[in-house]
Amino acid sequence: MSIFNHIRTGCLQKVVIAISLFILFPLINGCALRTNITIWATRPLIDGAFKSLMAESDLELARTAMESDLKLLEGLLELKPNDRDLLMKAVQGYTGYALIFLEDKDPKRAAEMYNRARNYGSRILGKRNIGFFQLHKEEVFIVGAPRFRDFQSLLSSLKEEDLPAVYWTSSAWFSAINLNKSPKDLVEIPFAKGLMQWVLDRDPHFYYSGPLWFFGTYYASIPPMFGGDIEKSKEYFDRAIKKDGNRFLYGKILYAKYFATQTLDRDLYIKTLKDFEDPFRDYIYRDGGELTLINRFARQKATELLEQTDELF
Amino acid sequence: MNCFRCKLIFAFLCCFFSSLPFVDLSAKTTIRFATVAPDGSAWMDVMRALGDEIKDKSGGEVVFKYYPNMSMGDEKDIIRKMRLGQIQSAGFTGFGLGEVLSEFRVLELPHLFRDDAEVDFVANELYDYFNSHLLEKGFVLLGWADVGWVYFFSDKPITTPSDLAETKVWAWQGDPLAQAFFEALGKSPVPLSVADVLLSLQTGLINAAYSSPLAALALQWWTQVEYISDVPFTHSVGAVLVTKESFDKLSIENKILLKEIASKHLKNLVERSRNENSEAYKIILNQGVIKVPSNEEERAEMSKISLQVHEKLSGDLFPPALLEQIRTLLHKYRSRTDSTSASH
Repeated sequence: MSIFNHIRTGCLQKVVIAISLFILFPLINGCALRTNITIWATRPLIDGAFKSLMAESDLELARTAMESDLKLLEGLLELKPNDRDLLMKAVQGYTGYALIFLEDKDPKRAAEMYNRARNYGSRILGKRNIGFFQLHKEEVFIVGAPRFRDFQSLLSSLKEEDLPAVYWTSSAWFSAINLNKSPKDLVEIPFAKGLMQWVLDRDPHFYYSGPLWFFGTYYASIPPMFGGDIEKSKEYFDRAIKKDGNRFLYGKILYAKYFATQTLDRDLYIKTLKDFEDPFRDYIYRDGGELTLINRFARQKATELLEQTDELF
Repeated sequence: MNCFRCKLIFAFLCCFFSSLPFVDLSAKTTIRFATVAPDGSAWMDVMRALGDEIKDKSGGEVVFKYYPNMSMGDEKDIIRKMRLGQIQSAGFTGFGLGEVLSEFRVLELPHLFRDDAEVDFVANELYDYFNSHLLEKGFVLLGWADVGWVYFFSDKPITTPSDLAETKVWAWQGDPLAQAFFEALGKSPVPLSVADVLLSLQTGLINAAYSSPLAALALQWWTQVEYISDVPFTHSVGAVLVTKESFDKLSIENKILLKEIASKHLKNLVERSRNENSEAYKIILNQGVIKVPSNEEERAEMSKISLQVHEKLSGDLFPPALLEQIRTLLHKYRSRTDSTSASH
């Protein structure tokens, strides 16, 4: 039996096309076509690398791999700056990198990486003519930036297919704001919140109830005088925990860090974080699924937060 | 007998050493600090730096614990908890300070000060006055802070008292100073908690509010208004207090150390607050909120109303002599600066 019989039809077609293009490559003058071929050939590699990264249980190995993967990704984005799939990976990648490896040790760099993630997301959303997203942080003041009321109407130009980009852009943006809280950042809160509200209204359980974890955190992390609301926070957290609390463990970190501290509930804080030490959960940290890395990080974070108990209560 | 004595001594030593972990040999004092400001704000950044330095320089004898974000409640709740000994220190706005000692509100009278330098001059001159009166109430003034200059945010331009009289203006619930100001205009404001202002602007229950630019950004009020006044109508103070009871527990060295370190860091907080407020004002303008220009005549009209408020509250919120003292200080300061600028 020929080896080709073992190759699935789609894959065979790709191989044939690739060989044909390779032969024709020197004859092709079009730069765009060459770029497309490079992206086309590299995409499975990038997909595999990101999948493997998300499934990595060794944080140190993940860090090293992530740094080189992100630079490779940026290299490809140089070739094809508006490739939606690559942009999405860049938003998710830089957000994850900042959260897992930078936020605690180097908040300034973490904010820079979150902003980089936001800017990649903005590139996707910029296609919907939401002018604000074409701006970089330093250029918020340029004439033409929409006012908040205009921004709300601009949100209507978003399409359902934009939901992942809106979610990740808003996540990255809010994380950056949360690390600074300077006037420049404060003015952006309603915009980042408006985006996440848009996602919440359409799919509250997107990415393991991401919008619910977000609003649970948002309402607990802001003083009531400034719009915080501990009852609302509890409501969002309860819904998220019920649906995804046993899968997306980082959500429980947010619950302890923001809700339990704001309510000064020491017992809840300890109980939530001690839960990470439950040996029955061990499989979650090694299951090789797409949440392995973030769950493994959550367990490490739980240990660190437990050590801070006496400082916080 | 000897054996019995040995056993007694052994038993005593056992008891002594077993009790050691429960005895605080280091005389460590923990100061729980609360504020309505969020974590990551200038207030909290500065207070954490202050706490790090005092911990380091006191050899770990003075340690701060932080409760930001209103986790200990609003300023009234915080004061109550300080009196109960649950919290030892807090950062307050003028509103909270007035709840501890109403005389503080004299510093927030409308159109009293012209600029930051005047505020600093009077606040420094009156430090001993306020500290001595606070001591009688069981508090120590660690140092001044600054909430900032207060502007009107509205959906119609406000330049004169009659403009203001035509608006549905908010007043901080339970604030005698705001109440007196609007009453002097013959106006009944809408009393609301700060948390309810945003929604009330959205629904039209009110169409004007007042705040420092930084607070207006953080509170998101700027998203609901069209105009901001060009001249502030008052200045809002702030300060950090510590309970006398906890302060008295510190050694003399640590008392001096805490005051010195607090003074240094709170000066930094004042500077940071002022920079952030002027930055916030610009950002609000760049978001399309329109600055309302006012002329000399309109400003004089507003000041006239303010003077009525000064007189009305004098003898009620603060002793008349205190207001007189401030006027004398300001006169002294202004004549000095006027002559300096004239000689240049």
